[in-house]
Amino acid sequence: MGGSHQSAKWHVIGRAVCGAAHRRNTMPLQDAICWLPAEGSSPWLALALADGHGSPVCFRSKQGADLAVETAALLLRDFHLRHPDCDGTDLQRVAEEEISKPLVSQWRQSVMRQLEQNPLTASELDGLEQKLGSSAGRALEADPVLAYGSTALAALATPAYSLLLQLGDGDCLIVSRLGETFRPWSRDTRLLGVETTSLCMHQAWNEVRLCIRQAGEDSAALLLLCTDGYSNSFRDDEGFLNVGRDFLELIRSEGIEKVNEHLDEWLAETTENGSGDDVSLGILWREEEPGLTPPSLPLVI
Amino acid sequence: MVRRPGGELASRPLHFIWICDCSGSMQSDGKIQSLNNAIREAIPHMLRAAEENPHAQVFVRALKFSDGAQWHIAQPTPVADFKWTDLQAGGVTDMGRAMQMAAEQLKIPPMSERALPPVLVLISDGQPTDDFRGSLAELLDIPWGKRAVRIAIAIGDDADHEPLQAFIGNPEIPVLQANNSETLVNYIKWASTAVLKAASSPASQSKTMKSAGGNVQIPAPPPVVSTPTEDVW
Repeated sequence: MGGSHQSAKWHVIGRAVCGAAHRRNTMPLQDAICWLPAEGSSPWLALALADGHGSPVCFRSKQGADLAVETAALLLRDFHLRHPDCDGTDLQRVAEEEISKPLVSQWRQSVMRQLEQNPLTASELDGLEQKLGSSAGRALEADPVLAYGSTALAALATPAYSLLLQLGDGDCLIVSRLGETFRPWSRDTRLLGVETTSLCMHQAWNEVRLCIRQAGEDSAALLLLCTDGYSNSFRDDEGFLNVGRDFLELIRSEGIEKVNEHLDEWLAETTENGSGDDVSLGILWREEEPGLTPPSLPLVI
Repeated sequence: MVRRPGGELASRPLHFIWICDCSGSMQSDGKIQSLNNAIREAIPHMLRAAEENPHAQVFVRALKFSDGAQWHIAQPTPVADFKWTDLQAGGVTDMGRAMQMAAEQLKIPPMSERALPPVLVLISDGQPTDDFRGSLAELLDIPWGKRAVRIAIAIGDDADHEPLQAFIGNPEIPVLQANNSETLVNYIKWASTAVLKAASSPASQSKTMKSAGGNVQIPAPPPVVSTPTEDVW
C-alpha cells in the first residue's frame, strides 16, 4: 500500500426515515442503519442498512432489519481487522468466504436467540391466518425466521480498499473523485415491483452480491447505500444517479456537517413526494488529502 | 438554502387495465350495457381510492376483444381524467389477441422498472375462439405480466371459467361469477377500489414467501348478497 492511502480518513453520515405512507397508516419505521466506529470518522468505517419487508408474514421485520445491520457491521469490522491490507491476496474470494455465508448464518442465529426469548405468539399467528389463511401460519410455524425477513446492504471503507455488499433490493453507488456515479453490479432484473431476495430465504448466501475495489488512482471519493424507498422516489434512474455527484459536490462545498444537518428534511421530502416507503441513506465520504485540491467536477449539460 | 441532491421526485406509476369481452353474446340480455354502466359507475369510487394514496399515480386504460382486439382507451390516462365511452358488442371472442396486446404494453419499456405491480381485470361471458393458451403464456413470460395483479370476472353461466382461472394463475383467487347487473357492479367496484388500494401500497415480499394473492395481498371480494335482482345471465 502507498503511504498516501494510509493517511486517508473516512466519514459517514446517514439516516433511516419513516415512510410518508407508513406514517399515514400508523405503521412503524421498518428500515435500520448503523455504522462502526460509532463516532463516524475514522481511517476505516463499516456501514450497514437494512429494509425489513413489512409484509403480513414478516411482522417482526423491524427486528430483522436491526439484527441485519448489527450483524453486517460487526462482520465487516472483523473482516477489516483480519485483512487491513490487500497484500496480494485474492480479497474478493476471501470476502465471499468470510462474509456472505456468515452474514446469513449469524443473522439467523441472532433471530433464533430472539425467538427463544420471545417466541411467536398465538395472537401474532392468528392475526396472520386471518389475513392470509392457514397456509401462511403453517409456513411460519415451520420456519419462524420468516417473520424477520429483511434485506441487507453494507460497505466497508478502508485506506486500502472498499467493499460493498447487497442482499435484496436497494442500491449501492460508487462515486469517483470526478463525480462519475455507477453501480458496482447491474440491477437484479428479478427484483421487480415488490419482490426481493431476503436474508430469510433458504440458502440466502447465494444471493449476496459482493465486490472489493482496491484503493488507487480510481479510488472512490464517496460510497452511497440506500434502501429501495429512496431510489424508487425518483422519477427516473438518471435522476437517482445524480445524487452521487450532487452529494459529493455539496460535501466539498458546504462540508459534511452541513449536509448531515439537511438529511432529515431531504429524506422526509423524498418519501413525501416519492415512493411513500421508508427511506434510508448512508454515505461514506473519503476526506480529501490535506493540501490536495479536489478536481473540479465536469460541467453537466 | 441548500438544494436537495438528485433529480425530480415522483410517485410510482400504477397501470390499471380493463380487458373487456365485446363478442356478440355480450349483446344478449343487456350484458354489454351492464358492463358499460358498471365501469362508468365505478370511476368516482376509483378516483377516491386513488386519492387516498398520493404515492401511487394511477393510470387507467381499456382493451376490448371480439374479432381480434383493440385498445378501447389506448392512452394510460390519469384516473382523474378517465372517462368511459360505451363498448359495442359483436363478433367472436379473440381473448388471446387481447393477452398479446396487453403483453406488448407491459414490456420494459414502455413500463418502467420502478412501477407498482399493474392490475389487469379480465371480463368475459364466453370462451376464447383463438389461441388463448399460447398468448397467455406470452403475457406471463413478461416480468410485469407475471407480477401483475390479475382478476377475472365471468358474466353469466355460459362463461368458461377455465381460461379465466388460467389468466389469474393462482387457485387461491377464484373467478368472480356475476349473474346479474348488481353483482357485476359490486365486482367492478371492488376491483376498482379494494384491489387498486392493495396494489398501490404493497409491502416487500421475499421471493420465496409471497402472499396467497401473489405479489400483492388481494382483499376478499364482496360476498354475493341476495338482492331483489334475480339471476338473468
